Amino acid sequence: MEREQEKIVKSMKKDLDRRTLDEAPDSELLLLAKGGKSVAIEVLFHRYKDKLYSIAYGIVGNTTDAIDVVQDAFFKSIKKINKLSKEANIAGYLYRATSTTAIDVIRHKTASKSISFEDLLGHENEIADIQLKPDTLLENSERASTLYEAIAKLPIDQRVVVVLHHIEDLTVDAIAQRLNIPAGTVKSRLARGREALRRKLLGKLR
Amino acid sequence: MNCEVVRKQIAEATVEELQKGLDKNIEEHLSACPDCRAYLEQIKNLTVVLDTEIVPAPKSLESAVIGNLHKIIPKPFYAKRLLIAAIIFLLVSAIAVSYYITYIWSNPDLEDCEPNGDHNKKGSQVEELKTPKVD
Repeated sequence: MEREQEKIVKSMKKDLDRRTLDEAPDSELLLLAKGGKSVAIEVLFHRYKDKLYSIAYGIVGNTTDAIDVVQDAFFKSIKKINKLSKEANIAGYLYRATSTTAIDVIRHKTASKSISFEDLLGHENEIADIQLKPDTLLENSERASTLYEAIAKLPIDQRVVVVLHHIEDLTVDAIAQRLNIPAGTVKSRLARGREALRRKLLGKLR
Repeated sequence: MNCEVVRKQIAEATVEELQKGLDKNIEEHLSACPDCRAYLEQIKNLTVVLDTEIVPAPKSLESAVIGNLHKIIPKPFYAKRLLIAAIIFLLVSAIAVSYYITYIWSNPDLEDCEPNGDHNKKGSQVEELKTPKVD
């Protein structure tokens, strides 16, 4: 298998640059990254940085921690990239590393504040009012940040489930398995999270 | 089926369920209830926005990652094989040197042996020297 990978990498042009690789499929970038090509890793980062940041920001709820989470998760993933098979879904691998790191950050923060993560998961925080332009639809550039501000204000249990389902595109069963909770609990948290977001945002986000 | 139950089921529906269509009983209720239809539309719109909107990563993230990338670049997959080859080479060399030291260098008689076919000749001379002549 390694010999096959080596042949493919050798068959690729030596003078690979960003422009050549920008349109390369993930599988090709994965092989090059496994071969130690930094330019392939850069392209992978540029391809997924916004989504990774969105997952991290959605879960941790602030810019500083989200940057740390993405950096940490990306570096850890790349260090272990040689363990991936050539058919591996690199996007899913990066998303999972990011959400797991983000959840760990929340756990760590709640532990340092002497509040159990589980207590926090069950706690219904009041969503603070988000400043929206009255009776006007938001511009595209504002829309994402407004939406993510609203997600960040959700209680942690709902926030994590909403991000995993809608941003990381995980199924209810996959979320249940990841968080080690029943699928019914995932559904009810998802419902409460959506309802809270609907109440606050929907009139502005069409 | 009342509005409360219908709205709960709509809110709990996965993205897939919302796209494919809901339960028959709910559909029946929706056809007769404009408020619940409006609620379903709102939830659908929200899921579309949630599925498509992403926050652009700040520039500081990019510089933090790209600037430190050289520290974590993985070793190429063929580096392992090169390492194994180097270890084998060193082992073979060590065995050869130890053999030379043990059997040849430590035996001065054998050092006199010359290559190019003289070995037999010299060797036989050595044998002759070792074997006491019987008169």
